Amino acid sequence: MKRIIAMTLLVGMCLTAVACSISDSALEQIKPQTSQMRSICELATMQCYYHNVAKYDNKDVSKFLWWAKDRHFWVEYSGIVTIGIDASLVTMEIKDNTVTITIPPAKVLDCKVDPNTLTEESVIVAPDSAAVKAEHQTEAFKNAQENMLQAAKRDTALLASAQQRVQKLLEDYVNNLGSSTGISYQIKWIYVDDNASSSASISDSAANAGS
Amino acid sequence: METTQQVKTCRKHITGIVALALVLALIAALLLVVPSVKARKSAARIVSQATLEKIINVSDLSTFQATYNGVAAITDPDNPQKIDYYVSYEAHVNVGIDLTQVKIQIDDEKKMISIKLPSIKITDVSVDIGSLDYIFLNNKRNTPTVSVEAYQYCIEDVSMKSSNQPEICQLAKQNAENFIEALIRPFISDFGPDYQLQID
Repeated sequence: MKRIIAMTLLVGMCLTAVACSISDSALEQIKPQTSQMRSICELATMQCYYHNVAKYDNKDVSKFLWWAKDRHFWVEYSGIVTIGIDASLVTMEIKDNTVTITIPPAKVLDCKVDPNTLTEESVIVAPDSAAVKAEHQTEAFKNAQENMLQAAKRDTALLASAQQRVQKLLEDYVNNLGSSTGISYQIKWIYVDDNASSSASISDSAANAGS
Repeated sequence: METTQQVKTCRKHITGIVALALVLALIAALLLVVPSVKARKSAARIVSQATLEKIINVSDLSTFQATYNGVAAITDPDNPQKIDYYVSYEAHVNVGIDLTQVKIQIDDEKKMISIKLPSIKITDVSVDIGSLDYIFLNNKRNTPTVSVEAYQYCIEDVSMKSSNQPEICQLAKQNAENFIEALIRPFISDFGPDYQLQID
């Protein structure tokens, strides 16, 4: 009799423990998670086609008596610029139904010039320019990578678009999880600079889950 | 003798009560487990094909941008072989994907979620008129209205050159695939650990 009682109690306890663990893990799985957010940020890295014109205007490079000439030419070329955010700096905190996401700004992660686009035909020389010789073209081609990197860094429209896209993806992720579980999350954004040392600004956005 | 009989009967009653209590406890425990298991299963059922379609369709990620800072060669209207001037411009090319045309198929046997993207097209180009810069070969074309004329040529130039550049759409497609994966990857695990995602 004692054995039967002991066995029954054991089975009962096991079932209760299983029930609790199942419900806990199910709940944990449908909450927003930092690891998922970082994966999203990595996938949100954008590769953009970038066509650029580098302009060279060297003053007074050739002089004959009082007559000085500038060297003035343009070089057209293409490449690929990769823009995204440093996913390792993304953090997330949930308090009640408020999800606070800390996010760094989008930046140029990589920049590659397609060397096949750098040809003699891609050089346009002004008619009154001093002679553009092979060495000047070589120098221009050598600087193309740096030129494109600087142009991409100055391209605020492209950087802003990449930043908005990451935020939209993260917002959709929180919204969709909220819709699945009937929770209405409020998202608070904290923008940090690259070294993650200081908070630049904070903004809120409501996630209309369950609607 | 009677006392022993009474004690035995009493023991039997107690045993019966204890057995009944244990059976009830077991039923109660089962009642607790079954809804939990059901809840777990329903958590998996939260995500269906329709949910994935909704997740993709409501996302506002249908446009991608390429930068096209180019140079247009403007020719003499009477002699198309003769270049009058070059104008450099800064432009953005918008590439669009119709997310409502995304097709999702879930194959439970192969444990495969397949997503087929529609074709990607150039939807819009925008030239920054303030970025125009010139090299004149024919100074007679350097008139006060040259920028108005040149601006139109630049729009034509970027429209034509970008449409001849398959890399713009190829990269946008790659980005679209990554973004759709980012949108739905967190929900794929709910189908089961062995499910694979294929986007093309």
